[in-house]
Amino acid sequence: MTPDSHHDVETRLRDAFGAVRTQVGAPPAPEPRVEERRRGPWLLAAAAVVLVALLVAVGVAQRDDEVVVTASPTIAPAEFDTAAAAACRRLEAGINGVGPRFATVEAYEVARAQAAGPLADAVAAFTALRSPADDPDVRAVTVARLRTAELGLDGAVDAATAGRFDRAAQAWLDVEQAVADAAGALVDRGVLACLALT
Amino acid sequence: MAVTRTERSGVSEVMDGATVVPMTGAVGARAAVEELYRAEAAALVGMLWVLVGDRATAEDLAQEAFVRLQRSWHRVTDPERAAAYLRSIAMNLARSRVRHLRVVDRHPAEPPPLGRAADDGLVLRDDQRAVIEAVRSLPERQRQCVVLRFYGGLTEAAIADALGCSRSSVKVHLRRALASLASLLEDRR
Repeated sequence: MTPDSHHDVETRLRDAFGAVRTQVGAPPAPEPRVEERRRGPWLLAAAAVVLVALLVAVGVAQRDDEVVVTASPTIAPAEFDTAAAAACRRLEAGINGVGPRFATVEAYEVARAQAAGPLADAVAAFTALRSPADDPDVRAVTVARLRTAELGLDGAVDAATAGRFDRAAQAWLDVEQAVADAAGALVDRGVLACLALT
Repeated sequence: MAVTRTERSGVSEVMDGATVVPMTGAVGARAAVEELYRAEAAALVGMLWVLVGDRATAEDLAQEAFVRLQRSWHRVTDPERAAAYLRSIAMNLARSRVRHLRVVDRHPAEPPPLGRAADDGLVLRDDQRAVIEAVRSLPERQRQCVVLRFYGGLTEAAIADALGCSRSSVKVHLRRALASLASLLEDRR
């Protein structure tokens, strides 16, 4: 490689990276002070009511679904794998796709709102899984862990609202762990062996 | 981040202009990481974008790096090296993410995994996009060295620090990377 081509490559790298820097550079959100943005108690109460309603709905769906599983275990293992893989991917996308916007209350709330949909979808998908390979005990454990994840999302917001971003970060990590455990419970039983979770 | 350290009543502090940030305890760790976030987050997201090819993923990895830094802040004995530690975490996360995406690519399923969108609406000229694609085609270590050197503006010593390798190794990686890029970009002309 000649000195000229070396120089040319460096110039082109700086030009391309400079273009990226001008468009990707800004941090996600400015930092408001927690004390100035503290939410009213009514909002937290409303969120709690919604969460309880969601959990009750999931519980009802699970009970209903267990009856169906007992009565009609007819779906092939391959279909089960596909459905479970899709549910896991929704979970993974929901959690990995949002991430906590670091050190702002609004950011944790946004993260929770964005993750709530995929989490609820995944909970519903897991509860709806049925096949001869499906183990109700495994499914119950999985759903319980997903509920832990949902509660962890709320915990992250609560901690952030209280100004405890260290606790919020820990709560978020607990959410990710709960999701990983939920997927792991299925992988351990071999029903998700086809899914590459790394 | 240009900071200086002072000792006051046995408590380390970071002074950045008029801002004095305590460095010990949970509150101090939070304040220090937030300060570091303001100083480093933008560049970190950009570098990660070049490495992983997706803005949302890059933002998540950057945030994850900060979360992990805060969790392990008690291990940061020298706050002036916190940025290097942060970059080291980020590079490891990016490497794991890229490997994960390669595994996912071998097992395609619907819906496609998040993080594979093309360029997130970034407006780049064709020649700039060709450079980014060429960088992404480099071997992992070379790619990281190029990004840290030409995006992050780090010295060879700082790159070695972030990647946990020797300075001579960084030199070799950069030299080979530039040679490969010259060849790749010449082919695409």
